[in-house]
Amino acid sequence: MQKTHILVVCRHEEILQTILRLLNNNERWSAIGTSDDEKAVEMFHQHSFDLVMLGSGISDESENKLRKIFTHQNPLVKVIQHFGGGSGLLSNEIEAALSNNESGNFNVIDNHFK
Amino acid sequence: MANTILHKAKTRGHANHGWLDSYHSFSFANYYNPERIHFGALRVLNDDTVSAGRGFGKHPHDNMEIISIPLEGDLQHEDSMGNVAVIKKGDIQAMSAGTGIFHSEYNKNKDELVKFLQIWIFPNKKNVEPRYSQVTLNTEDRHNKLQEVLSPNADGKGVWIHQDAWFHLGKLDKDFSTEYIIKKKGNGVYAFVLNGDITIDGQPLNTRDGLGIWDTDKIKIKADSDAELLLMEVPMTI
Repeated sequence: MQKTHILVVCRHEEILQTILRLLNNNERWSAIGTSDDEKAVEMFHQHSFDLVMLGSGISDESENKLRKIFTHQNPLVKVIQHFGGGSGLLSNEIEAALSNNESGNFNVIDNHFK
Repeated sequence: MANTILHKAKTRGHANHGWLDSYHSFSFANYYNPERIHFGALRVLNDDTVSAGRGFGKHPHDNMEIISIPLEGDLQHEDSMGNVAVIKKGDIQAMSAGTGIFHSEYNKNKDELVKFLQIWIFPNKKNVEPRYSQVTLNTEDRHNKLQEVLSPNADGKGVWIHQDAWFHLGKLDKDFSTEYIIKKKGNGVYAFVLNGDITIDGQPLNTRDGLGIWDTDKIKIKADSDAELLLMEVPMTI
């Protein structure tokens, strides 16, 4: 089974660890993450990701900067916001982002504040 | 002309984990239906039944307004801000998860179920300071009336959240009819029948049916039996 590789950026360290644990408990997903923007960019350069999830505490300025960097390096990468902080919406957000990639259907989960 | 979307009770997502029996009006956890992701800012409407003494262990949230409305039994709340509280029928609880909180919700009783609605609303502001509140409401104030239980106003009649949303509860006698006027232009209303039969804008609804209505400035409500109703007015553009 081909895994979806996910980078998680989230300022809240405990929530970050929870999200990574939830993601890596699912055999379809493989995730690493950080609370630091520079480290996130470094990770993005070092690994290949299908999806980037931006979690709690990321300012609009950081988000815009990260989106530009990630999509410039890999125009196919999906950059989405993760809401809720836990398991409730995680699977849904990934499903929606990946199906959007295939069908062109778009749900407002992706970056709904814009 | 108003637009509507009907979600019959039996078409909701369902997950029975033994200790938790949950019906999802919108995609949640393992239930994913791309046609039912949200209604405007309303992202989650879960109709949960939790076994005696069981519950949701410590888990995180961020950037979400989370509202719990107990329908039966007592729910014990604890969170990372140091709040310990019990909410029961007639109460409403709201949390602004903001930059991040951890909390647990347990059925306080060892010999009875707790039933409650868990509602998540996208906030209109990201990364706010986490906040918890609960209010005990006088249920007499909803008899043949629509009682405001949530608003964006800190000095409102119920709890408040970071969103231009208003919730009302009504306990309506058979044949009682009323209107609900939309409070903010552009908002829609998601009506959820707690029990009984109600007709809204000509659409008959039964227990646990949901009806979303938007592009209108008011809705007409008629109780076809003794009934209880939750109206959730939320922004349609977020």
